[in-house]
Amino acid sequence: MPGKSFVNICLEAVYQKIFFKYADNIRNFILAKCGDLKLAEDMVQEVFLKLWEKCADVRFDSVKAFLYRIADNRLKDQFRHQKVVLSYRSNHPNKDFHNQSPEHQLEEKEFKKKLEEIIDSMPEKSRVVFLMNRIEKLKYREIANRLELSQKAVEKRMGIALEIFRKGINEWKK
Amino acid sequence: MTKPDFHILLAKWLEGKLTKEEEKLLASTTDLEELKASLDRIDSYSFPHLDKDALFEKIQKKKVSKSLKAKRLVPLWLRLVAAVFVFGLFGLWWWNTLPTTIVSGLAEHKTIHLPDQTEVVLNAGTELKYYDRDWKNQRLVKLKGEAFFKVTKGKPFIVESAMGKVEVLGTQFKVKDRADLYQVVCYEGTVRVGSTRANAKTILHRGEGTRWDGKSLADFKDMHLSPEWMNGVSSFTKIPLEEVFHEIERQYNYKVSISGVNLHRSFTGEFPHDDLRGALDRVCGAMNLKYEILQNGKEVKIAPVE
Repeated sequence: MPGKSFVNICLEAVYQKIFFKYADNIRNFILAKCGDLKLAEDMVQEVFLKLWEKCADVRFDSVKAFLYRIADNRLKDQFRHQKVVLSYRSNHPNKDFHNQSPEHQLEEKEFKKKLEEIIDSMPEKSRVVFLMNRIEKLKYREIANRLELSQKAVEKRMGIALEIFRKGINEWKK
Repeated sequence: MTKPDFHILLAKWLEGKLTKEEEKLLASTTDLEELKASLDRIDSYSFPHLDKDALFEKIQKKKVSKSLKAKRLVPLWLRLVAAVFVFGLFGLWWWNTLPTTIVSGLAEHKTIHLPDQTEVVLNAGTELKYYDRDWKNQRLVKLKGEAFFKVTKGKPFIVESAMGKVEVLGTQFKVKDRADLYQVVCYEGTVRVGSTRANAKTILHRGEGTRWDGKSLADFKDMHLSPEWMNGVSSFTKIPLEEVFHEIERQYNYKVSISGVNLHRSFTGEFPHDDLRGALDRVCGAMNLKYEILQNGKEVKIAPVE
């Protein structure tokens, strides 16, 4: 797409579009790494302000990777790590939490807790890929593109995460 | 199966990218169905909601609003080179259109030649400007102070100063334009003089001079072959004392402080350029003044004789 690289990010309309398209992803990426919701939100602002600052230098077709890279750099100094807390999807077509029986609701709550623990026990690199794939529904190729990794590297990280998940769920079921 | 392969296989399996053989191999060590079922349960969960509108508002406030930035299609170094080049060209053009300025300092006479071989001798404390570039079209100089001109034949030669305009065609003359004193003397040829202060004009021939007397141009005779100051002497005919002392300052590069003296009084006479005491003797003696040469630097004090 030869035309795309000359799109001007410094235009308000373009910048806004980019924000609304990727703000979730960036926030989730940061959240996956540090688990701190407030911190993640603050960091998103920093990332996008950085994009604004460098708007004349960033090529449009590498904006995604740029955003993730900035977010990644920003977090390098953060040592704090909390558990990632997930939310129950209120509009999932097949499972409506409140329609379930109390036993089911309890079991679901316990599953959620276990899931969060398992995720927390994963090494950071695998955790991030796992969540991007499972929760954000991104394919490995797309994840590789955004994180500037080879697809093989992404698959490796995902595989590690899956193995940890498998072991963790098996333990829980016993 | 080595561990790394296993992980990649597992990941590939989830995306349905395994061959039938690979999947069989994996299934032999792992309960894939159960794993799939557990993984599907994760679909019920998401990341916490993000209020993007509010977040964007915050960002907008923090943004320093910038004017539309042009996409850098040309690398920075190239733009710098282009800018320097353009500036350089402009500077060159501008430089060429500037007048050439010659300045003589205090206690300094300076001789220069203009592009047409015209010789100009500047008395002390004088500034001369001429336009090098334009010389073929117009011989114009601007004078502040006093200078002697020996003009070669050619187009009309014009000397502009605050108080007058002198036009000649190849001749020798001097122009003095200091403070309220304006004087032109012709040593050779013909000179046309016009005053800027009044609608006064005059034509001078050899041995004739003209001065501004406050109202108009007054002609006088001057038989010198060239200005006295070119011969080591400053000469005055009914010139206010103030100008006389200024000339002493210029020729000797001394500061003259005067108190209690009427500086409008006229002085007629001359003083040498190479003997300060002698010069002061001449001037003060004639005007009933006393002087003191200070040891500190280059200063002279003038006071009336009691």
